[in-house]
Amino acid sequence: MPSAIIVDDSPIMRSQLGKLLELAGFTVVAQAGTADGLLELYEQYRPELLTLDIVMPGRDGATAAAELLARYPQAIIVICTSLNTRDKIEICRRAGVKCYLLKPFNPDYAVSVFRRVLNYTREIPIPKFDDVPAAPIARTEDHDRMSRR
Amino acid sequence: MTEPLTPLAPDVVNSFLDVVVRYLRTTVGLDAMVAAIAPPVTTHQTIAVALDFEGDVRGPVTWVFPRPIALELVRRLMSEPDPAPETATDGATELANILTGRASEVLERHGFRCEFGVPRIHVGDLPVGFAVRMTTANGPIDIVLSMSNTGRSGPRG
Repeated sequence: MPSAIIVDDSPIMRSQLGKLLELAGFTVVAQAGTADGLLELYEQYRPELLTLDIVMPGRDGATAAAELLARYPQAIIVICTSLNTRDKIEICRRAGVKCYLLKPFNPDYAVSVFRRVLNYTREIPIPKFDDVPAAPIARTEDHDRMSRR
Repeated sequence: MTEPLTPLAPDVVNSFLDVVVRYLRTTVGLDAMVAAIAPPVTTHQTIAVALDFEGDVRGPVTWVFPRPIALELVRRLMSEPDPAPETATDGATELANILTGRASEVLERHGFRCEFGVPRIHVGDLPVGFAVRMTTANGPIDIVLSMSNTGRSGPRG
């Protein structure tokens, strides 16, 4: 079963994401309340998917995502945040984040996004970082769509 | 040199509150109405959460939620019909985080570049600011907007 890591400082949000990821077919192998140890967590578990909040104690999720993807461009990150500002979305897009899911999200929609990520990892070769076109990242305006590149 | 600080303009505040009303409906299913510009009230049945803005807009926004509203978010996020009372604090901080995050889009739309920090439980007297009461079926929500515009940026055109 594919694995996932949840990084969010809210315990109830981690709980909700855990349930949704399991419904989507993932096993949640680790959870964290900050992104400070993200690199180590990724290296330890090598999950198929990471969900990452942005506003957290310590390092913010957008910066952590950029650092992780610079080193492991094949990592698949879904940002789960309530922050919908251009600056943060642009940092994430440039870093190669696959999807930006805005809280509050519709649970059914979130599951469908995670399933699509799952299919993406299984069926489509992961592009190298430099191969990723500079298409605008999708904002999931409540129940919008994910970016597949 | 100290930058001049000015309160947020009324149209910015109104837009901010419009977004809050919209996302209270989405997150906890409540119809909220701005009822009064009034001093907020905290009791043992409320939880106060503050988030600090930095950048072109500085200062805290403080939310005062009745416990039942905080628990409603927990109920919805965890699909838990009867959440433990002690989870109300988590519910309140996440609700404040979601509402502030979504409402901060308004600040960006008005030309302000700013970020906000991690929600923190506020204990004691509430800060001075523009205080608004919203009525809901589960009790009033008080919001204290203590943010100021630094004057470095602002409303476009």
